[in-house]
Amino acid sequence: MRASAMPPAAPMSVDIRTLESTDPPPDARVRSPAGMVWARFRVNRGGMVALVFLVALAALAIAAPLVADLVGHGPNDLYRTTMVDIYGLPKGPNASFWFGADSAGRDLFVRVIYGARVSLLVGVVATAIAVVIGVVLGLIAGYRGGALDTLFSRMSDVVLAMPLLLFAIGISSACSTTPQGCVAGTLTPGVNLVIVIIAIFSWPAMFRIVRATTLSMRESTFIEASRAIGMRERNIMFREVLPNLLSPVVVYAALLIPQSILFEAYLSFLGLGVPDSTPSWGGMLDQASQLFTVAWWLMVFPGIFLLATILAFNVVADGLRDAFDPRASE
Amino acid sequence: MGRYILRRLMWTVVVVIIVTLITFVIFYVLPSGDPALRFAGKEPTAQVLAQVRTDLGLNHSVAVEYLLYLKRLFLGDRYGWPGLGFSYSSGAAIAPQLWQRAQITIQLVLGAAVLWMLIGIPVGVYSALRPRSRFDRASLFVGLVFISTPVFWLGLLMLWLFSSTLGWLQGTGYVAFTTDPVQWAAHMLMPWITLSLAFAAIYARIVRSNMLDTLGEDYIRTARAKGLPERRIVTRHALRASLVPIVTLLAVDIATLVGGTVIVETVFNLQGLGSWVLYGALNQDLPVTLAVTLVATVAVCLLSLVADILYAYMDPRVRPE
Repeated sequence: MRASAMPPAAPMSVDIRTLESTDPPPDARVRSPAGMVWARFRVNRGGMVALVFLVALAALAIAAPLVADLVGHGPNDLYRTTMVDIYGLPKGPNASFWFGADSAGRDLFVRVIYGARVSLLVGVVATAIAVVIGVVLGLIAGYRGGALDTLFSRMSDVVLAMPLLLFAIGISSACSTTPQGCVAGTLTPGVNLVIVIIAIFSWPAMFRIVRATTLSMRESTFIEASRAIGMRERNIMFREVLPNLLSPVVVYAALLIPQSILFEAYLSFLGLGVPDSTPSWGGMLDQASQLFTVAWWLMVFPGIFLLATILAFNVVADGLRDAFDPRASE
Repeated sequence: MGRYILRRLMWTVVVVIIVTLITFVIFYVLPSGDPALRFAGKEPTAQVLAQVRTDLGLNHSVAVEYLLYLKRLFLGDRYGWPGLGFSYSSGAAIAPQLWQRAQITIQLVLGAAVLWMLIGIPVGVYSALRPRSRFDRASLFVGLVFISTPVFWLGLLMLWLFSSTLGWLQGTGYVAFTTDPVQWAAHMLMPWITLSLAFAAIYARIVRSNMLDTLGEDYIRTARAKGLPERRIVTRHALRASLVPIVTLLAVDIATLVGGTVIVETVFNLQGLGSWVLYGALNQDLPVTLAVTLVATVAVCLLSLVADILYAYMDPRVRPE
């Protein structure tokens, strides 16, 4: 029973035991493709732990105001008299301030929980925008070819040749000099600006993957058949080609999320991300860089949350890749 | 091959023109504030402001300014060739400082590259020889942790642990090699490690998967069938083929890092290109930002050309034409 479910053409040298993890349970074969991917992902212990962590984090992020109510401190409430000493240095963790306070006397625990909102929001939304741009342009370039293909491909070349962080810093600082922002006030400093910047620099890689896959798929028989029965071009692209791109797009999107979170943290660390009134892990670590010799908690707690979140997304992405293509993990 | 290189060099010039144009747009058109205001002192009179505009070359329209910039760039200015102008805030010529700062950044990047190759390649090879072993699984997971660690946090942790708590290593700053080689190494060690760990992990992953692919090839089986010792098969046959793609990657990564060390330079207070461009961006010092962006772009274009040529040299199948 088990042997028949082995992936075909497994190399002779493969240890039989190692196939367990990629071996779908017997009932998986009657499921939909998504069900099969899920069945393969479910047996990946690390991936499941990471997924549970991320779900819990998302729940905490949504319930952040509730957490603040329970603790009794808001994210921007100042406790200067109790939590900042006479030298202006913050005090460390205690019974009511679990993670200590920052230099303005704000509760670090509440701010860390609120910080999850920015990281998750930026990670998911920036990735979603980059995926939509990359997929649409990639489909058109790959399927139509011609002048549009040349244009989009050159655009992605230029973006990839640009020193990414430098331009992100440039745009961010240009748009943050005044509260009015830039582009006639459509982009104001804050989370939206960060999301737009990350999306601008993240789409080319997705575009290249989608374009290359579409290009190779264009000549396959089922697309030829769709053309033969007179299907409209747009329908072929989005109804026939797109569903077959699911695996590379999902796997790459899963990798883009942690990269976007990291990107936001870099910008906030340099003081160019979200403003200080919106708690973000990168911003907290920016403050920690001035004070880490006297206030270790400022560095340790936001840093651990940031690392754990990025790591969890990376583990899930790895697991998804293995689940979509069991042979890739070997 | 000559024509191919020429075409690529011309494409580099095109990219430089596009990238400088984008830089101009970002810094001239996007901000709502007037850059001249920043350098004209407190509450300037209209006359002073006009004088500052003329001095900084802000008295023309953006299009004219841009064309003038290109002209000076390609034909040189009063500071020599290429014409990079002077810093708005210090008034000093860009070129000498650019060169001085580039040296620090290059030392940082090359040192880190040596380190991540020394870690990444052996780990990758060893993992590939024993896939799914305890070592392989552990190195994959530790690698994923390194990839997920924000560079600035790693830098701060190291400063906290090795510099302020244990006192083993020097803190921030830069000491020239010619001044004191020991102090130079002591100051560069933490920046190198901080910059290299994530890359070491990525390279280990790539070497591992390349090696696994290569070890499955027919010619490796042939070599085994001939009775070659396993060590020789690994080092002479498999490793050689597995390292070819690494060369391309290395060139591009080094080039990207020329403009990408902002974070590490900020954390360790190194006066390289990265910290300079951050200063330029934050202070609307456009010539500084433009100069570093230019160097970074040219580095990416030229080194990826070098990588492609090396690749063609090592693998005849991908030679153009």
